[in-house]
Amino acid sequence: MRILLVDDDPDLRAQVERVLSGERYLVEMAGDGDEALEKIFAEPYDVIILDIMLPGTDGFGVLKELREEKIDTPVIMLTARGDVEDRVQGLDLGADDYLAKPFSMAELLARIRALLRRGGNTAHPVLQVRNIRLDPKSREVTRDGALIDLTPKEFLLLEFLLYNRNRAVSRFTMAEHVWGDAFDPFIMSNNIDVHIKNLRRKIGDDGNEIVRSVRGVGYMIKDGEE
Amino acid sequence: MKIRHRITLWITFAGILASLVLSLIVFFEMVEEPYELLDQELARQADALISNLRILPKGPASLAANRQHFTSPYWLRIIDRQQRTIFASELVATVDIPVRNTDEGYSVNTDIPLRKIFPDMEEDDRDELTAFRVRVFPFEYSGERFVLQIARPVENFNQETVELFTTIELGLVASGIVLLLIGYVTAGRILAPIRRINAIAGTFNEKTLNIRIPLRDNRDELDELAASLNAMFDRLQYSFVRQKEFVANAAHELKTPITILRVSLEELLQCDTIPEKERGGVEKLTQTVLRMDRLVRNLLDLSALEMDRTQGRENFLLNDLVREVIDEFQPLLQRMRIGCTLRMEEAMRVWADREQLRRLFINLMDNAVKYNREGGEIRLQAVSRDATGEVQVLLFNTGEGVPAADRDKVFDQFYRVEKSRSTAFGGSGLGLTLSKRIVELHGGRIVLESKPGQWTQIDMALPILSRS
Repeated sequence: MRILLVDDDPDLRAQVERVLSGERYLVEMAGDGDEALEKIFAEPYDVIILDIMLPGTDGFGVLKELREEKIDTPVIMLTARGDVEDRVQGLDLGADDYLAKPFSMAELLARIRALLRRGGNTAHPVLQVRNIRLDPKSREVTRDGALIDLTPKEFLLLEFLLYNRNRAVSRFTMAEHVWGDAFDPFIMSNNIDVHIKNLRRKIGDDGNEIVRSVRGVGYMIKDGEE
Repeated sequence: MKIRHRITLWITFAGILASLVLSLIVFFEMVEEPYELLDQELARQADALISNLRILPKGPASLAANRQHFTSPYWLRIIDRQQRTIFASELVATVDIPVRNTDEGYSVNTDIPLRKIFPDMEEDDRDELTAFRVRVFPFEYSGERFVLQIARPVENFNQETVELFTTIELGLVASGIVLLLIGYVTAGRILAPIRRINAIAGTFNEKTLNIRIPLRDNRDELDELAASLNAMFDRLQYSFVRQKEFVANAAHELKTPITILRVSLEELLQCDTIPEKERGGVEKLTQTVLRMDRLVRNLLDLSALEMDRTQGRENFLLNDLVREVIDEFQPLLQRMRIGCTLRMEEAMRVWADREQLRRLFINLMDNAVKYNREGGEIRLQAVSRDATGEVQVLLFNTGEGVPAADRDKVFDQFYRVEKSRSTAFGGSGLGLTLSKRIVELHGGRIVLESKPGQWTQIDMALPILSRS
């Protein structure tokens, strides 16, 4: 999977690149809009992560140009916070998702994986761990083929952990993902344990082997098989 | 005292003072003038008398026969050195007038009606009492010293004087009233432009930075005042905008470094290889970065709200929104064994920015939980006030409360009642500031009431009811 990361801050690029490489993505980087366009037209990518504020051609300009050239690579925009107009403009121009800085790596990874599934691999959109299958499209979870009734929050948590497979995800990041920005994740992370307990019960994870607790961090789903 | 009243009083005071001086001059002139004329007449008469006198040695005096008429209507008496009367006119028998040793004329009042002295007087003045204007002239006659006392009966001026005085006083009162009225109207006219300027300047605040006072271009003092105020508004507006931009820019610039820190630390925590004793430090560091993250997000939200950028109003049921928010807090409430009662009027349909209102209720509930005690209580009550189109919300909790002195400060940026406690909960110190701003953007009011150590209550009124 090839990812193009466009941001003008070299430190941020380096940091994100390190994590993405660790997740076995092939990462190319661009520091401004024009460099990004050159790379996009030179070779295909599976996902483009595009900051709006760029020297030269800005994020919107890049997005507009590549959509005009009928390149429909999924694009995640890195927007300014609270800027509804930015978000609307980005989505109007054909961005697939947006993420506000400061963001967590877990959130970025989840978004990338969601986009990758939505895009190329439509044949296998289902996430699976052991006997549990989660279909992000129909929003259904089955255990050995039998439907499990999850609350929206339990579903979001399971999906988030599955997208971040083999990574420990903190309660704080989970709270951010589930409740969004309006709630204080510091407060809401106290609720995570309750929801995880219910989730474990529903998916029959008696020995806490599917959703594992990671001391001092949070939770993790560890399993290679899909 | 209002300036209008002060100007009125000054105008009145100055006017009355001027009238008083004028009337005093007139008064004294009118009172003194007749006496001066009388005194001159008496002096002339006395001269004529003295030059026509015949005084016998050691005997009575007599006037030349053809000068008899001089005595009428005068009261005349000539006294020699032994105080004997050596000449007296007819009137002396009727009235006794004391002699004073003076060059000036003086007045003596009697209780004799005028008709006794002037029997052929006109009807209307007959009952008035007689007064005498008296002068005393010493003179010498063939080496002897005599004193001529001459007086003329006049109407009693006292009464006239009192009448004159009363008239003048009435005039003064009347002019005082007129002056008051004129002063009041004039002051009003002088102050009218000031009132206009004040009315506009009074509405100037951080939300109406664009207003300016219209100038009349007549370059008078008030126009200059208006121009100065406008210039001040310009500078204020500039600083306000600059300050808001600064906050927004500063927060904006912090986003990338915080993202880097956050991503790095989260990655560090993924490693199983961190030595156990360093792990606590990394976790602590992560918490701190997350708090910074939160702070920057809230700052950006606040500056977006400050710049009035986001208001997308829609029609929705407030009941649903409040229930949704409270539901999210349920596990937390159970954990802290906090009892939460919700009393809401049925079906309150409102016209408001849903996201902002959601945020508002989340922030307020967040505080009600965060600062509550184990086993405490939260009561949320929402009713509609159809008369004002307002929704009134009371959110009561058994939290620590706020000292009375700080009750208004809780809505200030970065205010915290108890620093350590709210930091432990990760509060950014901007929650209530954001809440207040949202309430203001919806044209509402929010206040905090509290009994320290026992309870805290948020009381807010939002004029957002939909007209159905």
